[in-house]
Amino acid sequence: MSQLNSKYDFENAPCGFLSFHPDGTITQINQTLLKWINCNKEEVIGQKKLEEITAKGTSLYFQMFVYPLLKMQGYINELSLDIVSSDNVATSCLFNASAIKNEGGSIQQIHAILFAIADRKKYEVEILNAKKTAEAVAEHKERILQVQRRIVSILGHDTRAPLFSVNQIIKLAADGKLGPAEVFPYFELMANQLDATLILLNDLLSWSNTLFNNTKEAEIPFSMQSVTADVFELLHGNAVSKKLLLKNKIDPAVMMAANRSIVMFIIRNLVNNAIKFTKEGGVTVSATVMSDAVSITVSDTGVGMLPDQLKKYTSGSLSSSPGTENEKGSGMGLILINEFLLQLNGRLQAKSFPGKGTSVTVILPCSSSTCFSSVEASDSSQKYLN
Amino acid sequence: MKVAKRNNVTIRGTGKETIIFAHGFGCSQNTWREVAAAFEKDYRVILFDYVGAGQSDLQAYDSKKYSTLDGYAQDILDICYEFGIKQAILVGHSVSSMIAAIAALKEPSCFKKLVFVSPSPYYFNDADYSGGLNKRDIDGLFEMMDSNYLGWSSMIAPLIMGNADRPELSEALANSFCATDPTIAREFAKVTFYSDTRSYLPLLEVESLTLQCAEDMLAPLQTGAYIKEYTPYNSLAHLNATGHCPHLSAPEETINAIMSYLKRTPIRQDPSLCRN
Repeated sequence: MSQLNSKYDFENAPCGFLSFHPDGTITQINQTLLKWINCNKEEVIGQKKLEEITAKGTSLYFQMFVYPLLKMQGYINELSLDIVSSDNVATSCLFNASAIKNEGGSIQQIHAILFAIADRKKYEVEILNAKKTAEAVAEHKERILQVQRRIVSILGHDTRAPLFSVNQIIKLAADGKLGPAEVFPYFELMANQLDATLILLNDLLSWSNTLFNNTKEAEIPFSMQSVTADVFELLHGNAVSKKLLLKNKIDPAVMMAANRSIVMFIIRNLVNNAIKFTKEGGVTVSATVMSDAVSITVSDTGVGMLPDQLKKYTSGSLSSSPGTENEKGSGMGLILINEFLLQLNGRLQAKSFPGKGTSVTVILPCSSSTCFSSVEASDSSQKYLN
Repeated sequence: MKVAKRNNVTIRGTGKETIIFAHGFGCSQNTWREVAAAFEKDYRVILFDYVGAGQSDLQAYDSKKYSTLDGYAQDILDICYEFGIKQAILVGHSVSSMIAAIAALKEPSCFKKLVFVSPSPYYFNDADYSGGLNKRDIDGLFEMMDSNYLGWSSMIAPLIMGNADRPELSEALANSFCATDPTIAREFAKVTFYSDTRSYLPLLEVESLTLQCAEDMLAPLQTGAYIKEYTPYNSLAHLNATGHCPHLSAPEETINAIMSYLKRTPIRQDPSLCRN
């Protein structure tokens, strides 16, 4: 009678019992565990291996950690693993096991007990996720801090020189060392110097806005073509002075709902850079809407980049160098583009042929509701523009 | 003696020749206890823990240095320099086989023979090559590692780490044999699984032996055969042992295989190999 009871207890105990060989072959299993894996005893004993009733990667983990531990200390406690049924339902378990060794000391059999821990596991996953989130936030903060340091140093460096020269001219004029007629020709030079400084400060402002004001600018869909047209208007003077042709090849139907000023910032910096490194020919902007992203390509007929430079460029570590007309830059544009791309989960690709030109593509992820082709959006038979 | 402490180097035995045992991913020099003991009579036996594993100095761990197998190979070379070791026998388990190969490429004069136990130059399947694993296995492994910090707790870590001379204390801590800082373990796993050392094999000048187990999902039969085909002066020995850890599951067979290989006259005796 007592034997019957103990038999019953073993089979239907509120936990799983399992014995297996070091190669994973199952030799004993109780009804409770059989229920979790939705199998009959006959299908399992001597037939199935541990890896067939556990989640992917478990047997790898056993090979790397569990068997060495069982061999060295004879037991393992509180291993968290998932038992998986024939119809792919997972039961999260805690697994305790002890090794039965033969005289030579090698493992003959492993006896294990498994407790289902569904609720506790959920809680653990929550904690794990919270920990991961906290770590990601800390990492993000550290990264922003680093970018801020770089920007502050660029800023100090790049605003000082023009302000210094403007200041000198004003002083000379104030001291009467430059007469009104002499000082006049310097005005244009000073305005140019200050223009560059103002653009730099504007860029910084738009970056700090997106960084510190998390109140998102209402993301009203805008036309990519119109953004590019605005950019061209801003950079018209630069292109004209180098006799370059700016081509806006974007279909007017391509719309995107995103932070317009960021997208404009990115395009403006790419076009500005293209103009800077192009002697003749021009700069073309095009855009393509894909199923999960929109790509904007700025290509030029400029001096191109060597493979080394290209690598640095795409990784955001290329520092500024003078353009074909000795145009100066701060190197800030690329840093900020990379910052924005990180925020938008976007990425940058570039192709370049020295002497022939460069083509830079920015890929911004979006859904069919945030970027689309307005003409075809009304025609549901064809959703995306190719 | 900085390296000795950093890598928790243990030296036993009195032989003229030196044999170094390098542990694989996951545990520490403890895994070599049984096999290494058999060599103490005839060799100077050196055991150590890689930085980040076992009772090594965790302060010396540097994510960047140890983001490639080269960083780990440097640990072995540092030990060779520290103890003036030349022409040693280097036995590596699992990923340590390829770490040993890298060390021997960098400093051939330090090593006379290499023994690869359950080696794999690349763990994934790739065109004609069968590494045995696919991405889902590895994802599952990482998930299990994330939910099992076996024996690890930052509270008890100093106890485990600081008491090499008091094993009874370590043994009181369940699962502590393989206790590893989870962040380091994760990084070591990444280096292990995402390294591809196939291109190094043909360059190896030091002769080597592969011990190949049956039914080893981490180093299937094909990987041993691949190493044999592409590595100069490599011999391949098949063990009856199954699984990935023959030094634990079949220590006798492992010892015998290594010993009979060491007794064999060197395949290649080329004095030009000795740089110093």
